[in-house]
Amino acid sequence: MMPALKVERAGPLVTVQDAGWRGTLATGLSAGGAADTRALAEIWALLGEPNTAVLEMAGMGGQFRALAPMRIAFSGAMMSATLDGAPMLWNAVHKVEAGQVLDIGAAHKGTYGYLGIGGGLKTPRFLGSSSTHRTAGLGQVVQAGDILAIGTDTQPDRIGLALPHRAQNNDLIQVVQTAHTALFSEELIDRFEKAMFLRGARGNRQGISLETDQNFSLEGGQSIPSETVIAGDIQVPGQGVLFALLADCQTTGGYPRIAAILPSELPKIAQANVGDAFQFKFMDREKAVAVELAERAARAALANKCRPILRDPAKMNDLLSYQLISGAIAST
Amino acid sequence: MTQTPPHPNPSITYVGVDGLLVRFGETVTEQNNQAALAFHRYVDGLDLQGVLESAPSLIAVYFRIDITECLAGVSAGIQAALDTQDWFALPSSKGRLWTIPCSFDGPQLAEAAELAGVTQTQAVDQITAARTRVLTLGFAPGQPYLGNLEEHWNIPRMSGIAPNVPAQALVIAVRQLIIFANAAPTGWRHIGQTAFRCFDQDRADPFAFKAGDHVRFRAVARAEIDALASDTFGGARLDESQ
Repeated sequence: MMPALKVERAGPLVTVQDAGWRGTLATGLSAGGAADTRALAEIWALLGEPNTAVLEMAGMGGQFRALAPMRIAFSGAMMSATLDGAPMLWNAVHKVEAGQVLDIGAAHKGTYGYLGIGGGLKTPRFLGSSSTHRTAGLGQVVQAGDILAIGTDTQPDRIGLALPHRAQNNDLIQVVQTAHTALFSEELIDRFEKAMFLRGARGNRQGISLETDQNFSLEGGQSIPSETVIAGDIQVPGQGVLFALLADCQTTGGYPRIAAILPSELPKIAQANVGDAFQFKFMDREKAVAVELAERAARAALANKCRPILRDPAKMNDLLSYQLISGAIAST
Repeated sequence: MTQTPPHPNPSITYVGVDGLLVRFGETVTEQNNQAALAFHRYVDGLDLQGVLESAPSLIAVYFRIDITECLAGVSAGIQAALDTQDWFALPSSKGRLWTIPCSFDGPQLAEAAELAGVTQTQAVDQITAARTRVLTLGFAPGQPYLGNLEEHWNIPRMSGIAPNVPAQALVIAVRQLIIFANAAPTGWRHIGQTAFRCFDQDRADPFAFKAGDHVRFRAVARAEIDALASDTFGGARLDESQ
């Protein structure tokens, strides 16, 4: 039988994602791809297989049956995961036998959890990517009953590894100047940096609303010609609420953009829960380029950061506290 | 005596960490748009050092650049390309002509007509009489910004965002029309319905329009649009080289 994963049950927004598209902006297709690019890189590192397509699970996972022996890896927003009822470690790569049932629950914190499979998912591709891009009408939301084909696993023995948890400051988001930053007054930029924004209720893979009790609207901002926009841009529509654009955003927009979030900082915004608070801080462009290059190097080195799992989580009854409090899931 | 030059020099702005934007003016005029499209066609054929991707919008061209390169050098390369000619002086390009059936029964036709100071009948007559051009593709795959309509159609976008207009809807704002590629929220007013698929991943050419194509609309009854649902081009006629 062809290696495949059967979907017994799925959360409301489970989609296939990879790194998305590059070079399609002129056609109106935005980059798309995994909302949390760092988590995607972690899956690739755990599996030892870069550029494979994975499942992105928004808020809630699902129940999956392995139709063949396979490897699975988890990253992103931590979700409760069990294999035939036994708890499994997050941020780790595991072996699964044919017939075993994987159950992934709700996210404890954050939004997007990721499930990678050795060999990667083999769903239809368009212009080189198999990412689901709902605003473009590409791909489909994964449903109960789907049978997802899997490619040939090139690293079948790479199992029992975990990535250490990465501590980071989620409340402070680094931004740089962008298309319309110069149109905003110094006073307004100063207020923008001092203001506290809450992740609003409106949000999806296209972007999320940022709520504030202040008004940052730009006079005459409604007559700006539409220009190219990209993920990370922070738009200021007329009515006060700001929008941070994410992977599946439109490619052009006519709202003034006050700042652009660094690509390496975007996972923080994508993963935020409703009500999470942030502040934005401008960074020099040169420094931002250095930050991005350092992040690229760090992602490239992730595969070497995977360490053997010290204790078998299936035999631990203090799993949750072990994961959440000690954080010491892997040897160093 | 000094004379104001007819066009300001195109400006180069850094946008985000890895973007450069060349703007050909501040307002969407035929000439500014033609200049942006012509410059994009030119640079698209070059292999500019450090440029990963370029995309035109209405009156600007965006460049995604390789941040491992010297940014000043990449910017200088783009400036050198800009300096090769007067992009505003080029003759209008000839494009293909699409004639697309549309039923003008959108929920905001009355409101849009009122803002433009015309009756609904006049609105439909003016929109079907106009030969618009694809100023750029954007927002969603293959989705065209069509313009420019006459000045009285310079009606603003709504300050709020409409929750959803259906796929293939015709919407209007700021002297422009858009055929929606997919159902989406928008600040533009929904005036009609076509059956034209701007983007169809199963078609030989998934993106129907090219920037510079000409487009006009033919008013038809809703029943005709409904009957065209299985036609990927929604009953449109394409005439080459108009």
